[in-house]
Amino acid sequence: MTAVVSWSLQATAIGGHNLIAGLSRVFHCNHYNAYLQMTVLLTQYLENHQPAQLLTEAVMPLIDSLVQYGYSQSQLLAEFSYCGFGILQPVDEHTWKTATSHYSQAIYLHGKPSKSCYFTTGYLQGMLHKVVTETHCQVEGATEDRFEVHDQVANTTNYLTYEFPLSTEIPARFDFPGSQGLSTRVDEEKIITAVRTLPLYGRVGEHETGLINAFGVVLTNHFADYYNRISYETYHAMLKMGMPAAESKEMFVQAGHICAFNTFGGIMSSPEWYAVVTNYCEHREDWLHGMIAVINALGWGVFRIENIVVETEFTVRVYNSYEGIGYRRLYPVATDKNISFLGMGAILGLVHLLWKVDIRQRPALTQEFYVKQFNNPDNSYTVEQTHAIAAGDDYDRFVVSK
Amino acid sequence: MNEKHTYIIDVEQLFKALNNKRTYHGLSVIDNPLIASKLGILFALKTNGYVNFKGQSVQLNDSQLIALQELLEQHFNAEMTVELRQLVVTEEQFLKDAAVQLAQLTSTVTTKIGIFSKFKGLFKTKIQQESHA
Repeated sequence: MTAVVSWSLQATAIGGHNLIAGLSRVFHCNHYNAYLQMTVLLTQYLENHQPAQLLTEAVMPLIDSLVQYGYSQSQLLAEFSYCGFGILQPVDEHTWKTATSHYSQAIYLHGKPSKSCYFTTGYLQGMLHKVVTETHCQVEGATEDRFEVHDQVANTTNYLTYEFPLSTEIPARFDFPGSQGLSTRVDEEKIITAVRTLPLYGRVGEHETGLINAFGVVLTNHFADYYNRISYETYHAMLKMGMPAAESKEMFVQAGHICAFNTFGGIMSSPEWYAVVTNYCEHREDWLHGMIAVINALGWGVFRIENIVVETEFTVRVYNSYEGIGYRRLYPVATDKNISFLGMGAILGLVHLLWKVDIRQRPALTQEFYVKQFNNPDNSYTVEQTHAIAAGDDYDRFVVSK
Repeated sequence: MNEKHTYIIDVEQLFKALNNKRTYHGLSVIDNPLIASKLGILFALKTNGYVNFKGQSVQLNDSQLIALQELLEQHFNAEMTVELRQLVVTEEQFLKDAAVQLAQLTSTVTTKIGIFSKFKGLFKTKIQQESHA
């Protein structure tokens, strides 16, 4: 299926991935982006590991890839806005600015305000092949983010060192060995088509921001490889210095849980949800089917529900999960199967939205509600990943249970 | 660095004090599990020693206590010297208190005055160092 989007950009949906110029893109919200960046930055004390540099440089080979695909500088700038990162503009030969930018919102900044636009800095470095530093940041109270371009050449390291193609063998919904004979009125194809027609892209022009405001959050159509690179490099660095694996994973999984609360919760409270999805919903569990259908339009892979035992267990497979595919393009086969952190947190969060707090009652999705209800350890479920593409399986499989 | 003291801090009280401090300064409240995870990771990376902040209490030595104070300031934007001084109990005092509690189940007596004065020295040194820097 091909969806033609604005100007000359084309998003192509293949195997649950949304490809633009050959690179997988995934929709994620400002909460996930900020939480993940905060997690990566926690490792600043680690010797021989520079998280700020990682956050900056992880985007550079992806920009290189776009240039090799034929992108001009103006197209790179247009895509920056189209994907919801803000509006990036030159001031003079050595200065660029973003008056609005996704990463300068920094909502999970708990420490002292500090410059936060690592991604934008890396985007500029990749585009200009020069070292760039952020000199002013809205997080620190500046009216706009400013970036200084130095004469020094910025070198790019390609980290996508392994070939790993997307699977074409994806079973139909409820039609695979192990599927527990579920059925629903929820029409997944219609929901996916409806989501793909939503204007989920940033615009440029007068009074436009280059941001994607939707479902009560600010979305980006981000590079899947960027997420994978910054997450797994940080995770591996933590392990290398002797951090317990469970502790090292926790923040990454929690980022997915927060993502579910804000993005899934926002979607399931939105007028679009009520216009398109709830008509299909007879039972509470149909909301699970509805949200899985929406997720299947986000570029995260193809999600297939394997089993639902009401309020007890929820089992989901993900074919072509962007984390699993990305891991195999970055590293040799993993030995640990609990490795798709976003998937684990997101599926756990989805269950909590239905079986723990009941999103159908349309609670206000506030920070207080998150702390006191959604993330309260009482009545929580646990998640385990039993299969992982990263570990050589054909799909990721998550089991959420009491 | 004098490492001979062991201090015990009630984690829930610590997090409560941290959020009180943040709220007082107009900053957002942070989820306790998130504070615990962040501190666990930051602590391990900063001190090369893992401390579990998910339990009821933590035991820290002198340098770890200073590390905690620095982490709270840098990563949670909260200057907690006074609060830490009030929350911390030495291991000896903790054991004494436990003994008292065993002996007098009906009246728990926790005297922290002596401990505060011990800590004053520790923190005063740190603060003086900073103010001279």
